[in-house]
Amino acid sequence: MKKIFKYILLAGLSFGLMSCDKFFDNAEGDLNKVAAEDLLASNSGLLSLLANLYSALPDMSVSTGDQSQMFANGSRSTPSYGTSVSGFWNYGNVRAVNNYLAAVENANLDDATKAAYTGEGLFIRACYYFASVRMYGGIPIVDISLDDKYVDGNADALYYDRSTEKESWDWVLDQLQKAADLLPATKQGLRANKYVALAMKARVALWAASESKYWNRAPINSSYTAVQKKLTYMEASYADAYYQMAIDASKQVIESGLYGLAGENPASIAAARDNFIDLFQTYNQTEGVFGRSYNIGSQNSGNGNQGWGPNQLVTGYLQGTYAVTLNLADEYDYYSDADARNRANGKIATRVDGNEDNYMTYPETEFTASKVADFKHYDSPDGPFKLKDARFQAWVAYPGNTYRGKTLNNEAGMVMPDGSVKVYPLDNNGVSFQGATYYPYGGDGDNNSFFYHLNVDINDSNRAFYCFQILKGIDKTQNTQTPQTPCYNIRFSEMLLTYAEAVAESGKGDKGKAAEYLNAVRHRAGFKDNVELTLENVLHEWKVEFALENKWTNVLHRRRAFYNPDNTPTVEEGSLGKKLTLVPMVDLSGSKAQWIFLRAIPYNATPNQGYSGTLRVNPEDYYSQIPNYQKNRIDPNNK
Amino acid sequence: MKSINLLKRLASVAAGFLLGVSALSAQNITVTGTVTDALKEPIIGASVLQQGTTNGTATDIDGNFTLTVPHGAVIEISSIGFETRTLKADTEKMNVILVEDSELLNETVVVGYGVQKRESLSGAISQIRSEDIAATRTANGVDALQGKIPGLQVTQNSGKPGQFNSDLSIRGYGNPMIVVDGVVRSVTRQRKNTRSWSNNARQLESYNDISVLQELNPDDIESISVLKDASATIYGLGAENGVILITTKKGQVKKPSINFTASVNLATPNVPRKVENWTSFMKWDNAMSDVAKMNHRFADAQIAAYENGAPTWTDADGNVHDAIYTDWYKESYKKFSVNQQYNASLSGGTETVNYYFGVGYANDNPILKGDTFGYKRYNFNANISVRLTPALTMRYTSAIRQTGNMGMGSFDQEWNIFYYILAAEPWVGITTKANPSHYSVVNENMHPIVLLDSALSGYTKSDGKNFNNTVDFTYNAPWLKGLTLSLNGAYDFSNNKQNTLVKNFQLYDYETDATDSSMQVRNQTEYVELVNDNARLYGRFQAMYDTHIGKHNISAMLGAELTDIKTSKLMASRNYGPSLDEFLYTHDILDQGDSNTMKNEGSRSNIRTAGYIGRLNYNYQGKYIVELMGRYDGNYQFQRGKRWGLFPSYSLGWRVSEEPFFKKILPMVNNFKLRWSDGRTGSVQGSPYAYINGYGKSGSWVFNEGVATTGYANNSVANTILTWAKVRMMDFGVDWELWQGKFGGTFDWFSRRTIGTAATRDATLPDFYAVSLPQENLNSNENQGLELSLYHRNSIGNFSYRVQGQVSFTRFRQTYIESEKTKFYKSSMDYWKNYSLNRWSGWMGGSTYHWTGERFNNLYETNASQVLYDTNGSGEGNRALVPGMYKLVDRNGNGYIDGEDVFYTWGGSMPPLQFGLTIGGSYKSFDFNLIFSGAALKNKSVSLSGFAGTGYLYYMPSQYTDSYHVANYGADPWDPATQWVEGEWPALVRVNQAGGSHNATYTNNQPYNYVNATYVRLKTIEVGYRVSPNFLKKAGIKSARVFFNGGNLLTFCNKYLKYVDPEASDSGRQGGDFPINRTYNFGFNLNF
Repeated sequence: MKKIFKYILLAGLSFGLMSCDKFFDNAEGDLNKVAAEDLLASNSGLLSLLANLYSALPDMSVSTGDQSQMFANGSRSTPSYGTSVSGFWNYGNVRAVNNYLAAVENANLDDATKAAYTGEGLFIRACYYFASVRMYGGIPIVDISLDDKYVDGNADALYYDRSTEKESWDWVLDQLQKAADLLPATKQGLRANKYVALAMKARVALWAASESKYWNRAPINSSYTAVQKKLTYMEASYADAYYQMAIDASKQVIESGLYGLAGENPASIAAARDNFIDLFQTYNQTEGVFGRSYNIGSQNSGNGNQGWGPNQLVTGYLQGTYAVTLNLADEYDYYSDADARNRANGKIATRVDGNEDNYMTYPETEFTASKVADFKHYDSPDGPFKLKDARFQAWVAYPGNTYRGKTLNNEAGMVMPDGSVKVYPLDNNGVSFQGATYYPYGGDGDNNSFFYHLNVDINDSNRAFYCFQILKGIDKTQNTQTPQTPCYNIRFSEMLLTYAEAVAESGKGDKGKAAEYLNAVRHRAGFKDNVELTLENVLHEWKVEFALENKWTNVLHRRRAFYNPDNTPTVEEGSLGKKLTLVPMVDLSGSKAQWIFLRAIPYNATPNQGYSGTLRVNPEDYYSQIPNYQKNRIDPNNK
Repeated sequence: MKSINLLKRLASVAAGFLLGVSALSAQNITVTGTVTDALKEPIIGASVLQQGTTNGTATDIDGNFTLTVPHGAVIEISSIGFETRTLKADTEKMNVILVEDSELLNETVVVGYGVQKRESLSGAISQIRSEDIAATRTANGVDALQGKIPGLQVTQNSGKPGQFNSDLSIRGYGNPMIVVDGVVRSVTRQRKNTRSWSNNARQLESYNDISVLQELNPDDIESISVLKDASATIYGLGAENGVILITTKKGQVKKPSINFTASVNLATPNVPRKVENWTSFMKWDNAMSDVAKMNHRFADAQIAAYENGAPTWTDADGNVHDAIYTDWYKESYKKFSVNQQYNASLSGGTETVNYYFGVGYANDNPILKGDTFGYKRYNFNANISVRLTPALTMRYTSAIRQTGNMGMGSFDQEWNIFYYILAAEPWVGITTKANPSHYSVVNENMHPIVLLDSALSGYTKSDGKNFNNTVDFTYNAPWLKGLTLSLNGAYDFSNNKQNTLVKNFQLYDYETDATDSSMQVRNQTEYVELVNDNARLYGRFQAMYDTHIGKHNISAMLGAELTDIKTSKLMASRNYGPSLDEFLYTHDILDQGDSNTMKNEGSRSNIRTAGYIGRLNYNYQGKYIVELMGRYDGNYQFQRGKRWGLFPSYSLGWRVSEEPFFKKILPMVNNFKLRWSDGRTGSVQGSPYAYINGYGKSGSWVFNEGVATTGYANNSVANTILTWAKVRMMDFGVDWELWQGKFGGTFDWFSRRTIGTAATRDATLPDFYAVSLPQENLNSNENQGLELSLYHRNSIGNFSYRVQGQVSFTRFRQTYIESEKTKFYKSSMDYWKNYSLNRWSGWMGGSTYHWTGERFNNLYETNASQVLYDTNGSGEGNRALVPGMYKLVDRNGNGYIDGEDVFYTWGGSMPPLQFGLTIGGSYKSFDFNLIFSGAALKNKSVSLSGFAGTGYLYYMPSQYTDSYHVANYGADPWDPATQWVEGEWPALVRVNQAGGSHNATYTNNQPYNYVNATYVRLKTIEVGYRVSPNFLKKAGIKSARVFFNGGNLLTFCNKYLKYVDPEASDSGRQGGDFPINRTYNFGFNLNF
């Protein structure tokens, strides 16, 4: 009895005397969170911080609504890989990288590791700022952690003023050089190394150079404060120094020996085509200087570019959303023949008289039975495309192209055996002809055609009919909800063309090497001849090599090709105000089935489709509006 | 045997102890006697005490006692539940009959960490006893409290089996803390989301689990106390919403007694269905189309065919259709559901050991056909108390609960099932013409019969196992009279499993039997298992000391307690094939799903709290009452240094009726007490461990092919500032009782002020800071209210009765809102509507129009109107006004009716004024109980024109035929010359789409759509008859009682709410949610 009492008392006392906080300290903490110290204590922890920073990297496309839609040489509605840079005013990401850099600085790491991790942070931060500078001009550069700068309600330390645009470019370039100096010179998987930083530097330098050189193409109202303070201002005199930087940086990457052109000197057009398909199936460590892989071994995430491809290859309601214009298709050169493979004009031959400037606006009524004979007849739907640049064959879904063992069907009508014509008919009724069945839309029903919900879709005002869609990034073996094909941020060929453009523009550097680099890109595409180093040739190569990665729009943007006082696109750089397409038809009125192609301005496919009536090519639209400029106490653009 | 001997010895020691040691004087008299109740049943364990001394004894198993006292001394005989009697010791033989306690005054009330006599209470505490709880026969313990306790607000939202979504709140504060047998047993848990529209079967939500109250077996409850004011603060952090204390039944010193109750309950929807027949409906619908200027939905030929009973009809295109009519309502609803409750208990005991065992079973079935809904529960309660030594008692309480609950697989369908029933096309058969095993395509592919069949469309099965175990050791220190030490421990664990199967199924065209992928619901079948494991470890050490020094009564309590709760969640799911074509559903077993689609989630957490408790009670002669309480409380959520807080409280009482002057003036008042209490506690807020600057998952990057590295990011700054909100609870109360309990009542004014609720500082920072400021203790708010409770008891001959009524009014306002500092208001109207600082809540923000009392009787009048109507901004103005439309008050007098003319009205949920009335009584062998409850200051939308309003679904409540309509069917309503028939409601207009508006003036926020939903409802009526014990005693049955119990049999409310329930939360259309049921219970109770 006494014992029991003693124990009760003892238990009570010991409880009462127990240290209060100890009880709480031993509770399992918030297991959803990880403390910063824990992340910094291990390589995997640091990597997880980096994974977040890398995943927020803006991809290299400018895709603000009508700006990208305007580029008729691109696609109808430009698909963008990954994170868009539109409105990249993301100080949240900047904060994350600043905090990361501060944490690495304070972490207990050896010098080499610390240098490498610091270099990666500098590289990523420079990429963030690059995206901002090209959108906004000179911006406030915050390069330290501000978390502890807001003390007792005093926010003074949180305000930053805008740097001039030139200072901003210089800062980004300087940061990239610092990163290159800190980073290892060997490949690091899909992480940054010395040459990734240099390649990015080459890109940024070329951007700054082009913008400087072509500043006067589209000068901005000089009465604006932003211009007077040089916040949105560059000038031609800056250009040469930047071109030199681009030459130096790209040269180091090219000569590093770590990277090269994948599939150089292909034996045949088919080999070149296959090489280009494969290049976008799995991340190529030779071609890819820097990029993003989606190959994670399970189906849970991916590139998300389902909408690009034709309905025959993908599922989901967005299939066939994006298309390639005829303007771009015409840019892809022909091989003179399958063996010699010299360059020949890429204009697709559709008419007997060779007058390819003839476009229909309403093929449904304009095309009549009497006009059938005007058109060049091909024996197969892919007739006009067989000798097109291998890049076109690999990346563009055109009528009769084969992919994943399927022949892609895309027609918009037929000439009936009795000679009558049907363009964009409301039905897709098959017609028997010489033992085979032909359909107005190429295949019998939704699953055998480019488009989902045939005829409804094609005639829908939101989806003008296009002849070409995009194959790049579509899985070549199977239909997957989210393709795990990679996207390249910087390909080796960009370095070659950067060098070539910088030399062609500035006259600095080695012209012979520049021409060699330009032709190396062409040779990899199956061409055997050499072209001269001219600006036109370089730009042409940019277009055909990169248009389907949305990077041609960047070229036009940095060269200020669209922003001028006349409100008209700079045509010589290869942009057009009208998007064009082909209307493929099967002709059953002859002795055998043949295919003809009408050139057309598709229904409702004017450049600014879906948007207000004017092209936004006003020079001041070159820069985006500064967000919250009053709250941030900084000067706005365009004022 | 030895142990039994030991027990016997201990027992005799105990008895000796109880007898105490008292010097016997020469004039002693030894009194023997028997204590019985009115039915001559012996009362065991009644206390027999010489008044003013410790000389006393207790009655034995036959109610007998022997006590030696000085001759002429006063003997006080008392027993819980009976009125105490005092007798003069002048005869040796005494047979004492105790009458059941009708006077609340002497009642023992369970308070925090102890019990007190009601007369010495100074806090606002209400208590309700077992019989009153069990009078309402419902599977939901919360509903059983409705209308019975002043200040306890309960609103029943639906009658869905096992859903238990009744709103429960003390004085409008929010979710109260639930304490069962001294241990806090409400806790935050996770379950499948019951609110989101998402079709995702894996979404979870957190909720406050008060199932210990909802799912208790009412027969196992001894009493429920509700601590409404500062008296709740003794439970420390988290008690700011008040505390409900549940005490389960214990054994008593008496012969074993068995109690068995069985009841069967028939339930039907409370609101009767009265709708127009199909041909009438079609005509009304076409007439509504005319008003809406829309095409008719029903061709004349179609209506004619149905009117004439023709088997088919031919449409304008020459297609022939069956003229069939499927009454989806009848096909989906049962006439009534049958539910059962069985409870049995065994209790008894000796002076050393006593025990109580209770078992209960309840099931609750849906009013809908099919097997998709249903609820089953098994309760087992055991309470064993052993007197180990004369001073040391151990009590073990165990409550085991097993519950099973069925629901639909996907929540949106569950919520919408009533809509689907009303939206399915009546001219489509259940199955196709050609194939009776093919279900027809109906509206939105939501076939009610398929949805109600779990084999076809899936289910959610919840399976809960709860084990609550409590052990108390109580030591009455023999070395210091009045000191009690106790050690209390609890270990509870529960396992809740939810299995969800969401199946796809294929439908077929009724006419052609054709099918395609558009005729299926969901393209894949998903199966999810969710397992929640919870464990609570609780320990408390407590010392209590009671003493009387002269007229000073002092009691003190000191204690310390800690709680450690661990919860874990594991969820796994798989699909069965990516599409219907490739779909093979095998079994609802994870392993049999497609392994490529497997997903899993898991987490666990740990909650720890601790506190030191102190209380000092003092009263002088039971006249001046002082209570001091303090709690030093710690909570795991906050950082070191901010975890502990001291929360002091006090309360004062003055029993004016004990003052001689009062007794002189008002002798009939046997109690008049003034109370004041003022207490502080804290409201835990923010998220646990916010003080850690933590990183969470964000993004991912493939550093090496084939491996994605998960990213971590930090999106907030560590919150080292936020702590609990400070809560101050105040109460001023008056209690009174007249003529020994004949009349009485209490009145309370109360206020709760909360200072420092979490808010973000209103500071404008530049984007460069890039992180939102941490929450701080900035805002404050206040609840206020009044409570009044009145009772009356009396007996006239064999008829005795009691009436108790209560009413409570509560309101709430925010007294500081940080964000209002810089908030910008566009106009004074905007300010008036949206500025909430210092505004009492309960009003629905300015959003309804008011009525002038006049109506537009015809189009001439609308055309002549001097006021322009554009109530929904469509620009149609008066052109859309239909006859019967109310003339609205143009508040600002600008000649337009628009958003600037709206005004306040009362809202729909948690009405601020709630009341209840209990009338109980007995006459000879009959007893009865009536419980009314009601609410006022409440409005309800009848959704005449909202989502699925008139003319969208395929039914029309008959009451709407009393509306303005054209005199001749088919006449053009927009021709001013057309004759109109006047009615109660404005002309009906057909909605053209779900949720769409259809007419410029016919909008939701109009007076005819917001109906005053003040109601009084007869929640319960029980009539019982006790069968003569003599007749049954031969069968071993001491007593038997048969009863009828009706639930919700009668409702008084606005006549416009004929087809919607004024209390329920349904969206206004008939059967918007599970209807509240009208129930008929038949049962009996046996006592062995």
